[in-house]
Amino acid sequence: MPHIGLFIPCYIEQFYPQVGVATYELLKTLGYQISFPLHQTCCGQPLANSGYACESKKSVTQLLSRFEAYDYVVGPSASCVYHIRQHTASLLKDHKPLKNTAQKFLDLTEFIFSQNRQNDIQGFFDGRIALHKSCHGLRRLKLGKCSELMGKEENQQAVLLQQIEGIEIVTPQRADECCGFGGTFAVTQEVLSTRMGMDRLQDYLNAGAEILTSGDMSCLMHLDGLIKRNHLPLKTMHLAEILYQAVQQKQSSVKSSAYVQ
Amino acid sequence: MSTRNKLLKKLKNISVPSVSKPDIPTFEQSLPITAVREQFVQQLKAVGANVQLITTTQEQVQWIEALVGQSSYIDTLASDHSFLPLSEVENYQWVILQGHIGVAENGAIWVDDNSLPTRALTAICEKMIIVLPQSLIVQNMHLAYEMVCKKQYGYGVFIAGPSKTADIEQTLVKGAHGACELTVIIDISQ
Amino acid sequence: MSNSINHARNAAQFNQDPQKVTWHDKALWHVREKRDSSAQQIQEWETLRTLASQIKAHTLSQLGDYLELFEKQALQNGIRVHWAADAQEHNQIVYRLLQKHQVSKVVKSKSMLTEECQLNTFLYQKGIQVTDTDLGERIVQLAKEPPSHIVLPAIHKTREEVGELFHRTMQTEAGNSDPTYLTKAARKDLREKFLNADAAITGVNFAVAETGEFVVCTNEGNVDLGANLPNLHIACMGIEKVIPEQKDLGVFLRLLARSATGQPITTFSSHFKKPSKGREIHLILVDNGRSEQLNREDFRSSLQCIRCGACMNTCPIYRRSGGHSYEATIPGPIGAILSPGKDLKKYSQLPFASTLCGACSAVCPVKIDIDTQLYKWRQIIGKDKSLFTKKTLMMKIGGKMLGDYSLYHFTAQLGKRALRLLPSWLINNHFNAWGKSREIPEVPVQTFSTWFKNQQHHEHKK
Repeated sequence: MPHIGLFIPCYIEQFYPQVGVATYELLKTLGYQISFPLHQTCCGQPLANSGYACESKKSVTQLLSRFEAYDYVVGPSASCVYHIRQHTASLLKDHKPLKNTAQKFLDLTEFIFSQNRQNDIQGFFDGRIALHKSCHGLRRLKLGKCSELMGKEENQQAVLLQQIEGIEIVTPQRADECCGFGGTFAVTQEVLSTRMGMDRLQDYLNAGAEILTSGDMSCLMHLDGLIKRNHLPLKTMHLAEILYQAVQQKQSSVKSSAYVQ
Repeated sequence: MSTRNKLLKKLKNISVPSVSKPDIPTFEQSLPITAVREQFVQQLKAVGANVQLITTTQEQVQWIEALVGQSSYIDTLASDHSFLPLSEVENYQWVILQGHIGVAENGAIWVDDNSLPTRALTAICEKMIIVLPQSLIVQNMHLAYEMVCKKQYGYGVFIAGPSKTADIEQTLVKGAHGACELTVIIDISQ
Repeated sequence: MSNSINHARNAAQFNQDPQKVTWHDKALWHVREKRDSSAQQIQEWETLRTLASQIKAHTLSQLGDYLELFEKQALQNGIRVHWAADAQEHNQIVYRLLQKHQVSKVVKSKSMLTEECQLNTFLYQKGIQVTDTDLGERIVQLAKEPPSHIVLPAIHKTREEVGELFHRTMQTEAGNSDPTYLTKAARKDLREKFLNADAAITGVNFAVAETGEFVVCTNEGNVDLGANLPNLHIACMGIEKVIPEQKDLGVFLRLLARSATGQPITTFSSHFKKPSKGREIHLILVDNGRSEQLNREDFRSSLQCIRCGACMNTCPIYRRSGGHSYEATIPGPIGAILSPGKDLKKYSQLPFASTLCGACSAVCPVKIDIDTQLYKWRQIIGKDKSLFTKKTLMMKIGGKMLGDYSLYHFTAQLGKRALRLLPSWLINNHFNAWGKSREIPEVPVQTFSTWFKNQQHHEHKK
């Protein structure tokens, strides 16, 4: 079994520890050896997307140096992972080992599929769920086929959800339109960002969603902020939370049925 | 130095890594001509054209007469109209043109100045008839250009349906500047 | 130096009418949907995109050679070829030709290049009557506005607005905004202009080096009417519009209209190879910054653009901010990577008018990596000292903070408390922007690190 370094993006560390917990526990149920190196810093994406990638060198170096020892680095964020793999190399010109480390980063869904473990996540979860396909996960990490491309429909995150008993996946009219988060875009273009987010939410509500899930908590942070401000009947959960709860539910039902016998 | 030479020199000094040109397949499928014609007819309808299938010259004449009725028309198939002054062309309601290639994937028909007394005839009359033998229908644009490249022309155009616009609130309106109506007569005996 | 345009402010203004935003978004999304169903019918769609991208990249790698070949072939065909280094030279060439032919009335078909060169304004000043003949272009010309979209110039106008405009300028019935009625009225009005024009000016979609011909694509037939009636036809093109061989047209014509409007092909794909007897065709090859863009390795492929507008229809920002918010000849995602190359200071906000969602790159028929180029422009703008702003300073401080774990940790903790206790302290204006329409995430009882440490502690105990 490979040794995994758990990467918890800074805003998940601070605001959404439960997503980190679910990721950690889910990987554990799959039998992996997981370490969580402390003192992880930001991947630098907010700086880089604002045009200041060069200012993020120290932060990136610090972050990557925590993970040199592992076979894979897995995190519950397609966006951060994409940024690290795609954009940090130019900052680390003189540091080959760190550049190699950057290429070991995988998003949770990506990791599960790369290990061919997608069928090993079975369980039960009750809910009408809409999958918000985050742009970086979809179009950059290619966790699925985006609606612009022609060809066979496929989506890894949807596959994971479809395997869980009790889940009804609802489909919005616009399959994969951006929610308008976009990092600092959310504040520099607050009006557009809000409008885009509200449009997505309306689409998911019209489809009958009760729970909105995604592989990226950043989109959900933005959408959840809008949901709460507007008191919309929707709940947001990271994909890892749903999968972990589903697996737990199954384990407990196995336990309880054993007890009955 | 002239602008031309300056620019060409500038472009030569920009080093762009060489990229080879890809081969372009024809994407031709093995289909009977009737299937290709059927797709052509479907596409013609989709782009707003009327279609008439005929088997004899006599039928062709009958159809044209029926369509044109008492209106004025220019029949480029019938006789030499090279004497027609441009200012007069505008006064004719109908024009009848010879099509040289039909493209099944999009309903486009190639017309060129080999059979046009004057070029503006492709867009000046209210109503248009294009006559095309079935044997000149090809599956797609790649095959169409295999035919175009053998032609000598000064002006040639693929026409796909009547002139149209959707510039006002995306509402489709036929007859923006060119023909408001296009009927394609396909001779399926040829 | 020109003033910077403020896309965020323009977008906010556009959003003051939420219903209009809904309408604009839906109209363009509908075009995107038509594009999707049209592309779905072509099995080899993705292969065609790859071919188109390769043909364009190949052409750009030998641009000078192909331009020379094109010129040679065109001259042999009897087309006269001119070269212009910039917009000014282009306009002068056009004017000289019009003067030579004693032209006072010109009909023009759609050409983004002449928009870029502001040819109309230039010719008005010289006393020449210019009539745009594409219906959308005519609408914006009458409204004295620039086009808001490169394929659908008047997409920002409702039928009622067009009805009112035509009533005012063409005396159509008051209150009649039926598109068929209005289109017929414009047809009648423009037919007159066509018949009386002394010259036609058109754009160029593709110029074929091998044959020396050029192709113009329209739906209305205004090119075939305009260019074939008067004795003088002037065609204007950017130097990147040249393609090597005629058979390449097969690839591009299959992609262009399907990407643009979802039509299988434009109604007219007009090939001009030789002038007819007694007439002249002049073609102007324009650089106007293209060679500079070719020299920028990271942005070179932006010159592959075939101006289909698919990136605009697909862009969630464009659809909700309107084309005019970009204040550039080419709006939308492709405009946001082309414009900074022309004037970095003026257009320094455009690469930020995006969430980097990447839909533009995925829809592009010639596979321009638009979102990657937006990211790269941002880095250039971030480093440009002349554009040094308060934001630059903030980001520098941010970089320092994020790079030092203990400082980062301390500030994050402080920030979290601040969110709860002291919203105006430490939290800068940008955080206020977050809170304007969104709740700030609730602060959990512990961070993940704390949880993990406790959990490890428990496991050890076990």
